[in-house]
Amino acid sequence: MTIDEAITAAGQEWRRLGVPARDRQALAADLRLDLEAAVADGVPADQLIDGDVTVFARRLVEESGVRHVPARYGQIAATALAGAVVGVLVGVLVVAGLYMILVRLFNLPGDFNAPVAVAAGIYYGGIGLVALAGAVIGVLILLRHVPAIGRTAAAITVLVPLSAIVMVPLLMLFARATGYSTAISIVLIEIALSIAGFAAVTTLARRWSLTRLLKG
Amino acid sequence: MIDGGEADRQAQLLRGALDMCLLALLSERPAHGYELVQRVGEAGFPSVGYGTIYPLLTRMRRLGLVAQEVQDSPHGPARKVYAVSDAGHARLTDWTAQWNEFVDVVGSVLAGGVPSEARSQQ
Repeated sequence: MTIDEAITAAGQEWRRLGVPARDRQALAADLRLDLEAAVADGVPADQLIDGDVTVFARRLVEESGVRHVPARYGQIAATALAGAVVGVLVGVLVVAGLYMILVRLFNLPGDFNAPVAVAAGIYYGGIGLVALAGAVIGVLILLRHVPAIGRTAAAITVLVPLSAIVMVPLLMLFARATGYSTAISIVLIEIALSIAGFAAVTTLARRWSLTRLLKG
Repeated sequence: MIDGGEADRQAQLLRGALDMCLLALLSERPAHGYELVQRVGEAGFPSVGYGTIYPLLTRMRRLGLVAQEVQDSPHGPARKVYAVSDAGHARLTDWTAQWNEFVDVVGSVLAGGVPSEARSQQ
């Protein structure tokens, strides 16, 4: 193992542990200086770090006192997505139930027509809100053991609606460009774009919450 | 020859004393990382490697017990040389007294006697 390989392996472990980039660079520079001096004395790097580099890297982070929180982007995005899917299903039922209750409570005239944009906004907005609640609740419950998950859930609550302002028109444009096709390939692309956008936003939310935490 | 069980036992004993040993060795003479590993080995702990000592040095630097200085070397790359700080010297004095007291107590217990302090409390 060369010095570069040892530093790279340690750096990957520090990244996995959520050590901020600046601290990773400082740790790597310090370690490199020490290893280079030892190698110049004729001691190979792999003999110095006897055993698993990742164990050494973890120990070094703990002893250095560097604040770090594991990012777990994939786990958080997947959990939020699963929560959002459940939320969509619940949201459809809730909105449909509310609609039926409203119809029973209010005897609207037969020629009453709500503007399409308002009706669609209420319908899809309602479902979206329940989906967002599903994502946030899912993350808070299922990942309650993950450090700083409360901050991340709060960031998701803020960023997902903001991102929807950009994502929804883009998806509508795509649908319009494809002639509002219901072909399976087009629908799958729309679903994939939605999932990718949602995953990107939850990742951004996690990153934002960790940046604030580690700076604070 | 130390078998696995004895090696574990020695590692446990050393865990609480290694930082003190490093401070003592550095107080004799500043050293760079690998040189300190060699000196620890020569002192009687050959199984203690760089992977143990370097993180410990990092902790002692964080606590201000050890200071490091990068020195240019005529024979190779620059070297980080570690030296005991004033706070480190003070801590070493405290730790040494604490250790001597601890050894006295353990020695008395192992010899079958009751430490003098414990006797006076009875």
